[in-house]
Amino acid sequence: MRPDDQDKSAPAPERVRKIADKLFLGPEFLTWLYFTLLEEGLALPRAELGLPAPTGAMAPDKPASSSGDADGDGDDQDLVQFAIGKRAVLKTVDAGGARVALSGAGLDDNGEILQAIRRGAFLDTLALDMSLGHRVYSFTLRADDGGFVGVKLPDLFSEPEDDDGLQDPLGPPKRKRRPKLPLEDILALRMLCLDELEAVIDALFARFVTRRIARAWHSEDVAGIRKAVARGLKARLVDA
Amino acid sequence: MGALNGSLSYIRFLIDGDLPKNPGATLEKSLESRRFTPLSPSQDTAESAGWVATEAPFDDGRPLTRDLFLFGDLVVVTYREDKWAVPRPLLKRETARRIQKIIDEEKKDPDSIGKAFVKAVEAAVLVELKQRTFPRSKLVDVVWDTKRREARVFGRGTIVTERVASLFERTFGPRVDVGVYAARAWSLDLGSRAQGVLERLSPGWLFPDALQNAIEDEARERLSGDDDEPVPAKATKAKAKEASGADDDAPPWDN
Repeated sequence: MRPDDQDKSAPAPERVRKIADKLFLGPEFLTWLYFTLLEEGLALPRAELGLPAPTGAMAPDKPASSSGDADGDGDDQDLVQFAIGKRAVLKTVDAGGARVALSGAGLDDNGEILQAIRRGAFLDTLALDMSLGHRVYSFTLRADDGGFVGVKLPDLFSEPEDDDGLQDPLGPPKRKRRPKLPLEDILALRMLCLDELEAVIDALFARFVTRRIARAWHSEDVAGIRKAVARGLKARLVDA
Repeated sequence: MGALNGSLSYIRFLIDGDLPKNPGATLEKSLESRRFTPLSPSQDTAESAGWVATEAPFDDGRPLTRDLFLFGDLVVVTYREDKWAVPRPLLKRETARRIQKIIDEEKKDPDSIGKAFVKAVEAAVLVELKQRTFPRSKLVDVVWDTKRREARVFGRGTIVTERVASLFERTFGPRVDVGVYAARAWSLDLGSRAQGVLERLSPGWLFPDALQNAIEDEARERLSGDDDEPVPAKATKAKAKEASGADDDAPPWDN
């Protein structure tokens, strides 16, 4: 470097620097989320996430029976249920930037994920399915820009099928009728669904940040993740 | 990949500001001045960008009136970017063919054809090729929830983080930040003490020995250089510690 070769560009604004300094929170959040969901049995109570009880357009299609939960609907309404999706990408945060991309079923019990994390990688992309009552969402979370990819919303537009019981089980499935809705209604319904999805992810992120800055982060959360990784890898060694 | 149908892929923007006092008229004026202008084959411009109505993104002549973009608390517009995409090899081949035709028809000496003539022929060929093709269009829907001070931008990459963000700021006024998790962490209501802890937070390693091993391997390689003499483990460990810049606040890992 020449002596006069100095960086004379204006320093980044404080706001930009503060965000750039904490970009590691994205991969850490997805990694924490993966293990937390597995640890919690892939179901979290609505109340724990600070979500309101379902009302209005987001109310369940079928009300739970007052005489208990014969079909389990009542309990389901109080839970946010998850499933690990079919895609995960892990990246190391060092300069090497090694990347492991996995796709297919069974990522909730995957030795390659555990091995990559053991070698210093964090989750960079994670596909999840989420159900809130009767509504099921599929989506992929990205750690780098906080974006959502390939979000599949529950079907809120089709009219209920005529349950006449005459459908041929071997025949082609009946096409659902989709009413022609004005743009405003389509937008409102789709954005309402995204609001609901984001509310869950934001609540989980707030919980992560609260844990991350707490003293117990290392002794509880990190220790828990390390134990889960060790247990998973050990089980595979024994199996082999 | 739009907001209105199919699966959705989007980035969230945090908006630092509110709607103007008279949003209908103000935004109509602001959007109209940044409305998309279609490309013309005879123009030199290679690309064009601006706002269009989400409902009819290819209806070029339609003005952006408030009934097309203002839906209660939502402001919904689409960023459209058109670009001529004439392949360079095709342009070269067609230009060479045209020059050959001129030489044959006018019995010209090929050596008398200068660079300026070739350029002029190329420009004429380009206009003809543009007339035979359509510009490549990219559409990015933007849904600004003014109540939540957030916008969903249905696209990815630099077109979203730079071009759409920049046009959004120029059109609507408020500053926008990509809603990465780091930005969301700062916007959480944590209290001043917790904000202080967040400020001092540094990346954590779930398995610090993985980092340590990688640094030691690298240091060993660097120290060994060309000679094959083994390097003592103590030396590599000291080098590794130096390289890692050992964090005094790091928790006592129990490996």
